[in-house]
Amino acid sequence: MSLLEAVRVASAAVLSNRLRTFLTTLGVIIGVAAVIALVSVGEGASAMITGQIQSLGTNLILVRPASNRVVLTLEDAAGLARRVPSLSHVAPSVSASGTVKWGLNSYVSTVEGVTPAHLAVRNYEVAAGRFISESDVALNRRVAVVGQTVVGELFKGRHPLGQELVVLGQRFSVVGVLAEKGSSLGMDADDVVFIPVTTAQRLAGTNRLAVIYARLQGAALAPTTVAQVERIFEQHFGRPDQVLVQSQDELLDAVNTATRTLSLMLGAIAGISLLVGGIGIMNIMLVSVTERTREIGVRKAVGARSRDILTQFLVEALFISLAGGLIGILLGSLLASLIALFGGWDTAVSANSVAISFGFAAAVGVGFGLFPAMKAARLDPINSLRYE
Amino acid sequence: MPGGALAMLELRGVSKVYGAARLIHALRGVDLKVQSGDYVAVMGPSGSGKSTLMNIVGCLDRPTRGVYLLEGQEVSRMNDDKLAGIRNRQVGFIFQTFNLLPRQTALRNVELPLIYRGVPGGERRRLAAGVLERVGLAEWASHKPNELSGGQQQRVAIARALVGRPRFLLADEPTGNLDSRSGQEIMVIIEELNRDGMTVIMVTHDPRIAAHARRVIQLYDGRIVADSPNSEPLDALEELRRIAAPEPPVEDGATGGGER
Repeated sequence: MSLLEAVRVASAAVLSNRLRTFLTTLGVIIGVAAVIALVSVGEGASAMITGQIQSLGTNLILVRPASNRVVLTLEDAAGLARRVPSLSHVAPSVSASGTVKWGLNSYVSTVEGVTPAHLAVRNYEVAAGRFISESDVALNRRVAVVGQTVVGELFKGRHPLGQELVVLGQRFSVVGVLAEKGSSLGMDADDVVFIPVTTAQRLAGTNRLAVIYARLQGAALAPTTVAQVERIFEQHFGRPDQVLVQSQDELLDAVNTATRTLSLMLGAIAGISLLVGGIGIMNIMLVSVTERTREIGVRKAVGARSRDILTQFLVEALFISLAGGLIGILLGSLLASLIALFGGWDTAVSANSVAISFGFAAAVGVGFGLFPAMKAARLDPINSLRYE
Repeated sequence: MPGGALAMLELRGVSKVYGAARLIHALRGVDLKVQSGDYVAVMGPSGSGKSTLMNIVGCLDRPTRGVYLLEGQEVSRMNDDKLAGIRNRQVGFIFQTFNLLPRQTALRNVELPLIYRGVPGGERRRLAAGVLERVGLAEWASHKPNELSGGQQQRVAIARALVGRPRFLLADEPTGNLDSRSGQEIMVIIEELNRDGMTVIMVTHDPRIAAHARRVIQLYDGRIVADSPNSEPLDALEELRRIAAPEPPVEDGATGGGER
């Protein structure tokens, strides 16, 4: 029997009991749709975090203390700028979430203590007034530069330049407004209040830095510069691994590893439901073989070989699982775009997840169809013909 | 007469034993020769080994002992796939319960043996339509079995048995599930086929059906106890005419005439 003939026979059998076929297919549909939707959520999360890291700026390296016991200071930042020529800018920073008040309005934003270098390192632009200056930092001035979101939320559209702000209980005057940078993938870069790093440290009563951002002269310099910075801090602290020095690429790698694990886990959970769908196929195929014992006997009597019967039932199982796979892919894609639309969470249906889940559905069809098909193929024609 | 060297099929000392713990001897050393063009009825009470004999002759089963030669080929030692090929090309089965595929049209049912022979679709349909016409069902080709009467279903089954041009027809109680008139119509077709040269082996317990054959074999306890030629076989067409004839004219006149 040719494969085409097997497909014809199988499709006729499958379509003759539509409701049952649909219910059987449902298991695979749900499984595949779950794989597609959940993996796309994972991929979306990955894309979001990647976007956040990239929105930090370009050609960055980040230096952070490895633990609470390690103290990074402004002197360390200055030392880096002096000793590492491949860094064009070094921008030490402390940040905290804090309440900002203007008059009776108050708003919780990110308050970040920075130096003038921050503007270039983080790709901000000043829309009005000026940014934090060297003398602001040197004299611990209580001046603030606000982002557009803060302008909107706190000043309700009033021009903020020259206004008095209360930040963390202290009065600040607004000297500058940042140009809108836009929110990238869920993180609002305009929801920020910049103050001089020294002022921030004094308010917090510490000389610690949270992170030192440094900008490279070129992306190719990243590995050697990272090694150089690590060496400097190893000498400074007398032992290695006191600070984390990461280029943006390394950060991306780390995040990607984490999100890939997430995607894999979501995919595995969804895969289990696909497996359950496969068991459903096997169950129905076994019932179908029993019901059609006589048909199998007739086919064998008129000359069907065991392998013809095997092919017929295997194609039937494959037909169900592939139809389920196709519908599942459509449903999963729809689900993913609904999550993106209503969940505010970017999703990305990748060709990979489509190919993998379709392949998995096919494997489920063959895997779970094989046992019933073999059972059918092994039926004895004499007893099958007498089967009531 | 049986005994010539050119037997179409020949059984030599064929035995069949079933079961493992308690052995059941279904056939005990059966010798049988059937010549091409023969019309043989196999009779016997239930349990006599009729079905087993038919399964072996039809290549659905293999003998435990003995040799089965079909056209000089020893089929008793062939593997399952080879036997499937023999059934496909040499044997035309007709069953008591018709055994049509319920979800397929008459035409598709008739095509079935050709599908497993790998005959391309167009030719398959042409051949199937041809034999359907021969059994008088040309206009029923696209109907499913449940839309056909029992007699029509059996005729579809005969068409299916014929479509592959087998060497012999193997009929198992072909009229067992039919009323006498439909049954007689089937016997007419079988007789016509035999007259055209088709070898027919028919298993039946009904002596009136067996009376159509030109040779009657009696089985008892797995042995052939009688094998006799039937010098005056019933003419199926004549029987049909007798059954189909209108009620006697007197009665006919009494109900149909006068008052109206």
